[in-house]
Amino acid sequence: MYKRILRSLQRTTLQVDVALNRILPSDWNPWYYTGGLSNLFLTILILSGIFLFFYYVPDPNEAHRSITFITERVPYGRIIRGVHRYAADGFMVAILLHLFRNWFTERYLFSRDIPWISGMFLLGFTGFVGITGYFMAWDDRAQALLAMTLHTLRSIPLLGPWLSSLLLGGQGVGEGTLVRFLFLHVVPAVTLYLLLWWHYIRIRHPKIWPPAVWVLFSLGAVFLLSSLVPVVSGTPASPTARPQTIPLDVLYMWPYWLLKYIGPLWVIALGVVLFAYGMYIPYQLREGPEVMGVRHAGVAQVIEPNCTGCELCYYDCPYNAIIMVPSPRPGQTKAAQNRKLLAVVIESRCVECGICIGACPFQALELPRLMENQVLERVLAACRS
Amino acid sequence: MSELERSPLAQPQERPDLKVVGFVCDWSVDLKGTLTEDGRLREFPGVHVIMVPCSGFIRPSWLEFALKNGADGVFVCGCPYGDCLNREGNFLVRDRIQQMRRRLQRQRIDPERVAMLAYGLHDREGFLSAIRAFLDDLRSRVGPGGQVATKATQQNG
Repeated sequence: MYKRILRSLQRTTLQVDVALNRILPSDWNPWYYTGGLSNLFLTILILSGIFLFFYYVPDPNEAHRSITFITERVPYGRIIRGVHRYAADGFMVAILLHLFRNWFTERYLFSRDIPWISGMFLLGFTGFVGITGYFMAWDDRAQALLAMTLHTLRSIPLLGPWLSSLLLGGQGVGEGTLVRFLFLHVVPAVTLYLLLWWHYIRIRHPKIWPPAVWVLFSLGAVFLLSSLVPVVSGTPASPTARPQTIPLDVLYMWPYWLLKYIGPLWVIALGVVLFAYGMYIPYQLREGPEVMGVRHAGVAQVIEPNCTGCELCYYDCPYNAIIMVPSPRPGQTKAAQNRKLLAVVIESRCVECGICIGACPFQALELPRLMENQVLERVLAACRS
Repeated sequence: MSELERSPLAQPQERPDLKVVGFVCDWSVDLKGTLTEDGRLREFPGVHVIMVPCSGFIRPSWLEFALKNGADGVFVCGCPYGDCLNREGNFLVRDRIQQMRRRLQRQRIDPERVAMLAYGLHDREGFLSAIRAFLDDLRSRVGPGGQVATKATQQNG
């Protein structure tokens, strides 16, 4: 059942690809650059965030005033603040597109579970950073969110009171509270880069940047939006205010929206279940290549006497499965006589795609079950028939 | 592609002597049902298809080998650019073929006899119409002897 749904979703995704490729050159197809687009939005967020950080005062009495100062007095402050908000939405949209596209096209299979698992952490951290960002403004919305957060935390048995006082830095909102929120906003955002390192570690030449046309388009979109629809704060938070309705951003605030309908413990449980299921996705339909009807060509083998240590396979392997080691002895062919390095395949990383075979001009690599001789025999048979 | 072209009435029009060898990636266009037992395209019997695990697996020397052993044209079909299952295979083979074209020109082999295609799993129609266009182009290059000219004389005069 799951398999059939996934199959039809894959079909739909690829049909969208084909349709987009009719309109745009395929090098520009935004579907292929969802990861790069996320990275672009993250960069916009970090840069605008540094700008805002210069002026922000993390103090319950000063925070709202400092943001008003940024919006009204600082040159371009209003624009930068809007850019920070709208780029956050773009970031989440790009991440979700990235997630669903790679899910539906099964890009988590075989050795790609590391990007998937790290991607789930990236998603979780992004959601957390996004939510803490809404506390920064310290307006009536932040106050309502804080009340809901504390309500949720306190409903956790045993740990609840301790967690809520840890978050507030005391029994109630005090001088240190917004410092803690600023910490929770900035540090996980920086941690995203650590997670990105994990995300890219097994990927050679990751596509981390979209084509120029999409960079300009996204930049233009966030700038235009922030000047056409300026971001405004609510009224300053005060202990006496009891906000009843607040505008909610669906992309980041859906857990708070759910709080209206189900109990706080259920919301926490739902988040945990979603995260755990996300981690389980790559292993849900794990089958051997034989069962999946995929060619099993065998792990690439280095033909040691022919290897010249030229590093071409090392540069082209998409999974970092080939490393160069100092050559223990000279090779046998003329080109390999003076080699300094020797290519070695790390078998656990090899996905048997054969890209190294195409990279090697010295016939020093073979797929055991699809050797060059077999291919050439078939070419000859085709030419002679 | 129009309905007429797809119908079984559409005859394979190319001459039987136009021989083309194609390397098709396992993950790109789905050719189930369009291949005969000996690996030809049902619609274009002159086209022999060799399935490979990724378009990046192909050594350009194999394409050259096919051209020198009597194939009128060769093509490689990978996934759409940016959508390779191994992320890079089709870009790599595209670059390698681009480098090979220069080599072919030096050997006086018409580089237009090599085609690089990119079609996804469900884009069989696009693939077949690209093959049709490639065959038409090859046919326009057929010399007086019935074979595609080995030397690039048409270009250099």
